[in-house]
Amino acid sequence: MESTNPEAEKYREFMEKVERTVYIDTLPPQANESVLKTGLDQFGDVKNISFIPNYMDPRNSMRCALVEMKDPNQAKNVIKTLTDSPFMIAGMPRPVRVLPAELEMFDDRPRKPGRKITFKWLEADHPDLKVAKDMKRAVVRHATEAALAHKQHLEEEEKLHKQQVEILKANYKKYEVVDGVISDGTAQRVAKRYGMRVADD
Amino acid sequence: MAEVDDPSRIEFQWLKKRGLGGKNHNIQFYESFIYDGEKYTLYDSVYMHRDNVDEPDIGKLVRLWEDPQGHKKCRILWYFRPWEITNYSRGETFPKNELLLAAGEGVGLYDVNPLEAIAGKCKVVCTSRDSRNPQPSKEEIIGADFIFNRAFDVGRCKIVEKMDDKIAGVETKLLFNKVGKRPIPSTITPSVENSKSSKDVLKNKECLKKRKLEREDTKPAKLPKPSPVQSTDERKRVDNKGPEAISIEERRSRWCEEQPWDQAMEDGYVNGSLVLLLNLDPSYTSDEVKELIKNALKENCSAKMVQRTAFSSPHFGQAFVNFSSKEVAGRVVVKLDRHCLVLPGGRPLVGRLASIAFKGKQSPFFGHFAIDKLKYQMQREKREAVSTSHCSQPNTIEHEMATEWALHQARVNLTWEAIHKQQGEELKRLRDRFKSV
Repeated sequence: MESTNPEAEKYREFMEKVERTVYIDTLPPQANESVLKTGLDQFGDVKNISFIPNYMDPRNSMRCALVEMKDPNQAKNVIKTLTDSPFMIAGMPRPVRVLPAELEMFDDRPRKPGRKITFKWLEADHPDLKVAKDMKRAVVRHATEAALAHKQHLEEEEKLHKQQVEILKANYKKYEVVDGVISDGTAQRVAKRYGMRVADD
Repeated sequence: MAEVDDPSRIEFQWLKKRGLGGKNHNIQFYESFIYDGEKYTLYDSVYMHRDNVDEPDIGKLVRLWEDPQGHKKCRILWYFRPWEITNYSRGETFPKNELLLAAGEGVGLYDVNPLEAIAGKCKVVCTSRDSRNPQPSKEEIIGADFIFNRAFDVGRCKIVEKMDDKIAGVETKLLFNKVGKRPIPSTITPSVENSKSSKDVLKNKECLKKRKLEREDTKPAKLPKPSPVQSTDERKRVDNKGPEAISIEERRSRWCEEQPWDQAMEDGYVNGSLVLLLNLDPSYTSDEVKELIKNALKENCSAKMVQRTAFSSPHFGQAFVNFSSKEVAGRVVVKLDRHCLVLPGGRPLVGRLASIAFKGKQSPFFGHFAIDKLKYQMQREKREAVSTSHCSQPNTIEHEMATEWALHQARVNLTWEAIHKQQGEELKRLRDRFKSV
C-alpha cells in the first residue's frame, strides 16, 4: 500500500532526478542555457538546465545552475572531469565548480511524503524559552557571519582578478616587444651579427 | 471563452511604440499592447491583481514600458473604492459603482507594476460635468463597470470635485473619457430613455442594477460585447457559475502564476511587506512554509524557499514570505521576535524584514577577462578557444591562472567548512539544552 502511494512515488522519482543532476557555480552572467548546454553536452546528454536565482544577494552577478544529465553515471562523469582539470565556461581563466546536486537546491522539490509540520508557541513561563531565544540570536549571528565571509571572499576574488589583469598586461607588453623587434628587422640584424638563425621554419 | 482551453500560452504583443527614455535612453515606452486577445491602450482602466486580496484593485494605465532587461512595466494611477477611504469620507454614502480617481501628491497616487499584474480590462466611465470631459452617453454609463466623477487627494486626504490640470504628471484631459470611441448600441432600451441625466442614474442604484440585468439578457444582439471582467457585484450575482465567471477566475489564477516571483519580491521589498524567515528545516517546500505561516500566524502570504547553493548553511534553510502589507509584515516580525514559535527539530523560527538591495550596480563577475586583453596570447596559444567552453591546457598562462582560481576556491571551501562546523556545534549545544521540544 505504501509503496504505491502516489506521493511517495513522486518523491522517489524526484530523488532519482537529483541523482542525475549536477550543481555548477562560479558561472559568469553571460553563461546562459545554450552556452551551458553546448559546454556540457560533450560529457553526456544534457536533459534540462535551470538557474538558481540569487535572491540573497541580487547584486552578485555570479550564476549557479542545476544541470540534469541523462543518468547518474553521466552526472558523476561530469563532476569528475570538471573537478580534475579546470574547465571554463563563457570566459576565462576562472574555472567553474561542479558538485553533486542536493534536494534542497531544487525549487520544484516535492514535500516529504507524510510530513506534517507541527509548531508550538512557547508560553512566557515555558522552561525552554530562554534557550529558544538564545538559539534565535545564534541563528541571526550565524547569518551575519556568513554574509561577512561571503563579502570577504568577494574582495579576495576582486584582488586576484586585478592581479591577473596586471600579469596579463605585462605579458601582452612582452609579446608586443617581441613582435616589434621581429617585424622591424631588429631581430634579424642581431641574429646576423651573431650568426644565428631566427626563422621559425 | 476560448483561452480557457489552452492555459499554457498567452498571447502578448506590444503594439504602438512611443519614444525612448530613461537615463541611458534604453527604456522603450509604448502606447498599446495586446494581451490574451485583448487590446490595452494608454489611459484604459484595468483590474489589477493583488495577492491575497479578493477584490481586485482598479487603476488607469498612464505609462507603459519595457526596460533593457525585458521587464514589462506599467504605471498605474489608482482609483479608490469608497470603502478604502471611509476614514475621510465623513459617513457619506456612495453609489455602489462609484470610484474616486487618485489625485494630489503623496503615497497611493500611483504605483509601478509588472504588466503581468493586470487582471483584465475594466470599463470605467467619467461622469464629471467638467467641461474638459467628453460627456458619456447614457448607454455608456449603464454599460460601465464603474463610474467616477470626483477625485481623492492622497496628500490632503480629501475628496475633491474639481480636478487639477495635471494628475501624476498626466494631463487631466487624457484621464477623462476618450473622444471618438463611443460604442453605439443598435437599439436603446426604453428604460434608458426614461432616465433624465447621468446623475439620476447614479442615484438610483436599484434601477441601475435592474437595467444592467436587462442588458445581460439582451446582450448578444443589441449591445457591444461586455468587458471580459465584469464588475464585482455583477460577478456575485452570477454566483461564479456562469462561463464568464469561471473564465475570470481562470484568467486571474493564470495571471497569478505568471507574475514572476522576482518582481513580486522586489515590490514586497519596496513596500516593506517582505520578510525573511531563518532557521527553517532546509527541506521544507515553499508551499509548506506558506501553510505554516497560515496555521501558526493566521496570515496569508506568498512564500519562496531560498534554494540551497554551495554557499548556503547546511544547518538551516531560509525563505522569503511576502505579505499583503507592511503592517502585516511588521506584526509578524514583532510576534516572532517577542514570542517563540518552535518548529520540529528544536527550531525557533526567526523572522526579519528583508533587507536586500535590488537596485544599484551589479557587482562584476571576477575572474573573466575581456577578450581584447587576451588578443596576443590567443594568437600564440589557442585562438579558437576564446569563449567556447573548454579545459585549459597545462602549458598556457591561462592554465596557471585557472590554477590560482582553483586554489582560491579551495581556500574558500575550507573557510566555509570551518564556519559551518563551528556554527553547527553551537546550534547542537543549544538544542541539547531543550527540555521538552
